[in-house]
Amino acid sequence: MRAAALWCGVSALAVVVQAMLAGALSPTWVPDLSLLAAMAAALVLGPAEGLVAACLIGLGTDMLSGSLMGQHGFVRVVEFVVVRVFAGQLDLARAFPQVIMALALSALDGVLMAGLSAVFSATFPLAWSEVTVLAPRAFVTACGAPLVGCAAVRVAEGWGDGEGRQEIRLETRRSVL
Amino acid sequence: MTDFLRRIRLPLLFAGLLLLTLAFMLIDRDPESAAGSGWFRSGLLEVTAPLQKLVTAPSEWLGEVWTEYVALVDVRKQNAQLERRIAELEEENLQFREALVASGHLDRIAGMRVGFEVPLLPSEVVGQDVSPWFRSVLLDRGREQAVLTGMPVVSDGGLVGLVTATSPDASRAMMLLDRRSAVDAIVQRSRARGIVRGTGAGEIEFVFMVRGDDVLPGDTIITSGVGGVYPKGLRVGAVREVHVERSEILHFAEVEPAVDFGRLEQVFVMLARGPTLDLLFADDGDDYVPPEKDAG
Repeated sequence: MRAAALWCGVSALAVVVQAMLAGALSPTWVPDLSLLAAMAAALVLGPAEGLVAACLIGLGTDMLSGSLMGQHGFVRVVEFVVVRVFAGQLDLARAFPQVIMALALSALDGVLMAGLSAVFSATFPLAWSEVTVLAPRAFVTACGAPLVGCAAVRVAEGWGDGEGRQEIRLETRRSVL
Repeated sequence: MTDFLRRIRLPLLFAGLLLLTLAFMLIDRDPESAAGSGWFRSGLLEVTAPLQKLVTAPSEWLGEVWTEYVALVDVRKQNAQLERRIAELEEENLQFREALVASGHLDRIAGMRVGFEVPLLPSEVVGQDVSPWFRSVLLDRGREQAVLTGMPVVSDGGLVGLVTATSPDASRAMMLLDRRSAVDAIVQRSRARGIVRGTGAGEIEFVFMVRGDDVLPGDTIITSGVGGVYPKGLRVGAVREVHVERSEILHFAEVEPAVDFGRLEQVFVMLARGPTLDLLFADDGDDYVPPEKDAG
């Protein structure tokens, strides 16, 4: 529980950094640290506290965005479960699979955001030209995945609770929920 | 029984969180909430505004250090003042030309000027959108300063966007770049009418139905006033390139925005909203009385 609370704090800081970068850089080059934080939570935290942490990370992002409140929260919860599903099948402890996973999550993020916006905001046109913005951004985000994963492992190892502490690794062969 | 509950604990939590976020979305899209009188969005903005101001403070400070001390202090300030003055004069000139083109009668010009005498409230941009899917900015003025949902936001360059949420001391404005943004606009030269919309990729485009010759590169696009959201004659941008597909009914032109959205620092909220939004948000507890227009 301590690790989850601390990871929420670190994630809040990550969202704040993302907001700072959004003010200084073009959207193309701002990594989606909120997405990476949720992904790392799925890899190192327990299912219950990880789910809550992912949801809180998403809600924090909603507060600093023009989206509907809960939109990023919803997306992060779904992404959390997707990462848990794949972590049960693939070895996500290494950097390269994490990068691929982050790329896939960026695509999923887009589909979910567009879908939710279409349902709740009635109109949400998507154009092919957006790929020029979103693809580099997804790539920048994916490159940061191993770093964020590493930070999450450090937090979990350093602040994990009692018995579970020794077992906290990027586990890859466990049940989804 | 307890064993069963333990087994379904996580799926229940998953479903519960999804339902919670869906409930948030439903509350947030409620018209009352959108109008600014809803406690939900208002409360969120109240919490977010100081936080985001705090977040952007270091980068703003760095930017200020650079521009105020590294760059030449007086020359830059003087230049900014002169640029602002030129922009004001250009805007005024544009509106006069707009009135001339529209009717050619001097009394109509006078009417136009009266129509544009809307009080402008200066406001600072205190935060940008963190999500790549949306393009909005957080402003440091809210309902206490008579800012209401639906009021247009402009800068010295031209139209910036529309206020979409307010709290007592802050508001959020959707920029023209946002994919949800659509502005009824006309080409000032040919009066060709169309819609300016955000592409989502940091650009805006003008979608129109008339012949391609009526829209040429370099043409100025201004708001048409139709739709009852934005007043007529606000500068939106200039046509960069026209794409006309003979097989398509709708053509589009790339537009260079009149405003540099990447460097927005100070904007002005027009303290009067269009009739459509006034009707839409009629019951939002609006206690602000717009100034009376000069009958002459």
